[in-house]
Parts: sequence; structure tokens; C-alpha cells
Amino acid sequence: MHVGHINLAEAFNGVGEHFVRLIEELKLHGVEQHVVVRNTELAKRLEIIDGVTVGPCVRSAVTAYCLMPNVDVVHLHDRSSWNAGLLLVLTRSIPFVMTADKAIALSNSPLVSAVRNRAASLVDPEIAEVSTHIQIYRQAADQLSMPTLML
Amino acid sequence: MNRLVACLQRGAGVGLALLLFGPVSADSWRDNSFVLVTSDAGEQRLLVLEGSATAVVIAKIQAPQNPDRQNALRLLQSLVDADRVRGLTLLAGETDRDSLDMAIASLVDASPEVREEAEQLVAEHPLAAPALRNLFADDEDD
Repeated sequence: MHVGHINLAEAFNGVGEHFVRLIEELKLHGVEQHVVVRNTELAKRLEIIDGVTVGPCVRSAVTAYCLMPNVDVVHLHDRSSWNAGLLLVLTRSIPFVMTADKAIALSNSPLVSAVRNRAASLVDPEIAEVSTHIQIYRQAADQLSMPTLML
Repeated sequence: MNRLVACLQRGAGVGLALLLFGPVSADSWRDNSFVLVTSDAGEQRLLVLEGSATAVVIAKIQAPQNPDRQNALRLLQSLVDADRVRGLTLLAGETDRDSLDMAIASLVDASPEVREEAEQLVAEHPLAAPALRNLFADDEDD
């Protein structure tokens, strides 16, 4: 399984460290990964993980979408990357999962509900077990079956 | 009743898309709060519908018009190194902006073979900035 990650957070803080640990642990479990991030420090940190490919640093979700290769599933790690997920699933049939807290899960905003309803799964930020992540990715990669309405 | 409202909203969204773009393909599934429309010119707009009468464009993408460029782009999005090299090979000798953009994006590819091919394309592309062309031309001399 090949998993793509998009993280467009500007800062490399505690959340970024959590992100790096997740990538490292997924690698230990044999998951192939391609990562697109915004923060250059984060990109350099990820580049030293053997077997993980890191794309160019990007600022926008559209650029992240363009530079994401044809992976099995994409994990969106922050709000800035949501549009990339919608574009990936709509134009290239690549499913996505998204890290979402309770506020996102309950929000009535049109954009939030559009992204949330299109996501193959929501990932609770409190989940630490890498096996749970892998299970979510596998289910997401298997379940995509998207009818298209042609006008 | 909810279903009726949903149908009306979906109709409004699609109608808006038709007004904006003329012939379009639209995707609608699970919910009706967004729509992707594609114009004849290949421009795609992702619209989020706010209520039944207004929509906000949240992303615009322009796919290459030329079928050869589309094929090259498809290959460049592959996970297989050899496919990406082949995608760049298809761009050899091309002089348009799309081919240059794809070559520049491949300059930082994880595969050395892809980077080498991209550097060669940029070095030979007439639209590349002279400084960028010279950078890779000098590398070849070394």
C-alpha cells in the first residue's frame, strides 16, 4: 500500500513532531509513503527517513494536488489541505482520509461538510496507534466506488 | 420533504454551473454541497454551494489542452520511476509553457534518473530563464 500525506501547516511544532513520528512508525510497518508539506524544516526532517519520498515544498492545496502521485490513499493532516482532497477524489479517484477533531465532525459549514462527507474516513487526532491508521488507510483504499453524473 | 429540498438545491447548483460554463461535466454524490465543473477549454472549478442560490469557487485547475501533454502528465504522476522518465521523454523538444512547468516540477523528484531527464529538458527549453538553463548546462560541462 502506498500512502500520500499532505500537511500544509506553516509551523513545525508539536503537531509536526507527532506527524513525523507517524511517518516513521508507518515506515517501520512497511507502508510506502509520499509526503507533500509546506514547512521546509519539516520537509528536511522527513527526507532523512529512509524510503519515504518527499515532494517539493508547496504553499497551496492545488499545488499539493498537482504534485501528489497516484497513491492508494491520501491522508490530509490540516485544514489547508482539504481542497486537495476534494480535487484528488473528484478528478483522479484517489480516496482521502482526514484528521478531524470533534469541532470538524460536528460543523455545519458547507465547505467542512463537503470535505467531511467526501472523506473515506475521519482520523481522530488522539489516535496514536499506527495499526489503527493502517487499518483506516486499507479500508479507505478498498471502499472507493464513485458514481459520476455526466450532464 | 428533505429529499425535495435536496433535489431543488442540486438543481440550482447544476444550473449555476451550466450558466457559468456552458457544457460541463458535474459530479455529485453523497451530498449536494459542492460540484466540480469542467469547461470545454479544460478548466475545472470546484464550487461549494452555500444555500441554494450562491456558490463559492474554492479551487481552479487548468489541465493541459494538448493530449500529448495530458499523457505526459499522467505518466509523471505515476509511482514508477521509469514511467516518470518516459513522461519527461515525451516532452523532449517541446517548447510550450506546460512542458517547462512539468520539467521544473520534476527537478526535485526522488529518482535521480527523473531529475537528470528534467535537468536536460530545462537546459534545452527556450522559455526557461537563462540563469536556470545555464545552471544545468554548467552541470553537464562539469
